[in-house]
Amino acid sequence: MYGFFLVPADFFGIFWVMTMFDVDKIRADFPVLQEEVYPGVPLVYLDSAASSQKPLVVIEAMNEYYRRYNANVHRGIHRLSEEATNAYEGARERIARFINAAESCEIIYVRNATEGFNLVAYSWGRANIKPGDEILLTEMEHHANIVPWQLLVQEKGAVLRYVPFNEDGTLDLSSLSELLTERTRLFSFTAVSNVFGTINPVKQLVDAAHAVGALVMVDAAQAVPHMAVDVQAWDCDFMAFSSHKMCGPTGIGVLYGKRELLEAMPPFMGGGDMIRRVRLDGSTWNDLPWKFEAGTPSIAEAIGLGTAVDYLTNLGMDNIHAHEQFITNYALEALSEVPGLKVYGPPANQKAGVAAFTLKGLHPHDISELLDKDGIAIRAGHHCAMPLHHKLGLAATARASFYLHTTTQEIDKLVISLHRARKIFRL
Amino acid sequence: MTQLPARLQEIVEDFSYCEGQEKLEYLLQFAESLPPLPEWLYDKRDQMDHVHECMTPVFVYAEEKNGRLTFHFDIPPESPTVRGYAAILQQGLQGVTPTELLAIPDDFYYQMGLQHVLSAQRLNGISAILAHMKALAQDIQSR
Repeated sequence: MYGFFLVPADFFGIFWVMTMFDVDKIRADFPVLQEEVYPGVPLVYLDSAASSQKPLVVIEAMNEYYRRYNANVHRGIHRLSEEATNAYEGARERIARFINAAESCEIIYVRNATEGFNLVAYSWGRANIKPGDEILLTEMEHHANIVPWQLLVQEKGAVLRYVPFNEDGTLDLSSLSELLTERTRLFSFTAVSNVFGTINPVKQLVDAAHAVGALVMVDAAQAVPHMAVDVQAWDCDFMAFSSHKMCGPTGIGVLYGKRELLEAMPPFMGGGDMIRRVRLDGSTWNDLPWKFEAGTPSIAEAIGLGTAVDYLTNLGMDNIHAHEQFITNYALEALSEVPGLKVYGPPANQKAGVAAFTLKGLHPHDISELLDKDGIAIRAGHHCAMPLHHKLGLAATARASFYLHTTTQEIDKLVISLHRARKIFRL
Repeated sequence: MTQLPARLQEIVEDFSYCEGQEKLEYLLQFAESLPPLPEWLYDKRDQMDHVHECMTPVFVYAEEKNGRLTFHFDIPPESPTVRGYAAILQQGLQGVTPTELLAIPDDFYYQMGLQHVLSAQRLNGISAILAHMKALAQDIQSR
């Protein structure tokens, strides 16, 4: 199937151009999408916001490392180690280009976005936050961007504040000038909500924070996989994202930080690779980025992530984003025809490929259970955003999320299955 | 295999005869039969046991008379499968002694074939209801 959709031209927002996105060809790249969940029931994977599927090139790149040149990286004086090091560090270079970091040493390999937040909270936070200082978050954050800061402010006697969200799932920025003050040391917020799908105005928020002297950390876990991200254009100070949500393997993610900030921060963990010299009476630290990468790293995973970045780059992030907007628009219209179904978040033109919903009279777990029988994988629960759900007065939502391989036929199956669930549960 | 109380055994056998979707439909019939919380428990929510393992807000209360147990549940109507399972426990275990309740295998629902209609993760959640009922029974027994 070729997906035809309209995307704004680069130079004139008022003009539109036709572009093509060969979804069938893309789907053929993903082995799991050829699977049947139950006999005769093909997989409809609508859970990419939780974890994306992996194209064969990523799986093969990791396989190739283990089969042909498995060795530890750095300091190995043999060919295998050199090849592994080149692949590992080469991936870092390509990731840096992917998000337009000024230098590859600003790319720190971590386990996932969560570890990125913990690293900054532990290293920068413990060195810089004092009693009475404030850290500003929003009410729509993932727990990964709440709990590390809660731990920090408890330890330091600092204060957490939150930007509220409106009923439509957009940030309520009317009080931003009161929340961002000279006491604010850091504003940490998500670029894209993992529940509402809201695409937040990152640059506007960064500028507002910098105007009061606060640093900015961006949760880009739901942004980097789905749209072109330029950290220099955003001018954010830190940013974290996970590999497994962007066609890469689990076990690796990225913390981006501006060089001067990372240079000034103490190490997060101690051990091999992060040191320059160790004596019994003390140690000195390695250069960036290795200062923050203690121990043998996730080598195959870094190589896999580098390959995922190549894969996405070749397809074009603008094309992927346009496809997801087309699918999201289609999905929101189709879901609106299901009686009793409410989708949370802003309209399609303001959100990424996420549709969190409730169906009146049916728990999200029951919805998910029924859809699974039709091969449809969605998520049901609080999606690691309990404060958001609490504010909505909900314990849980069902969430369908879309990616580069999602088709309109899959959305149609979702809607048919939801109608069937209503019938079975006599709604 | 531990012998289940007669009524619970009957329900389990009925379920085992159901095929595929019939199990779910039968579970929904039980959901509809779960009685509302007795009025005297309305303002005693804080005295009910919260089954926190369940994402659905499930509250259970054990009433003991002459050494026999009756359980009361507060579960929102939006969770029909959880209500259905609770109703099975309520009806199947009406009037049992704490000792009888404690002897019930935690995974008795496998005999019903619920694993064919509910995922393992959900079964873990709802199986916690029985665990809480057992804890309440133990409390009563040790008084």
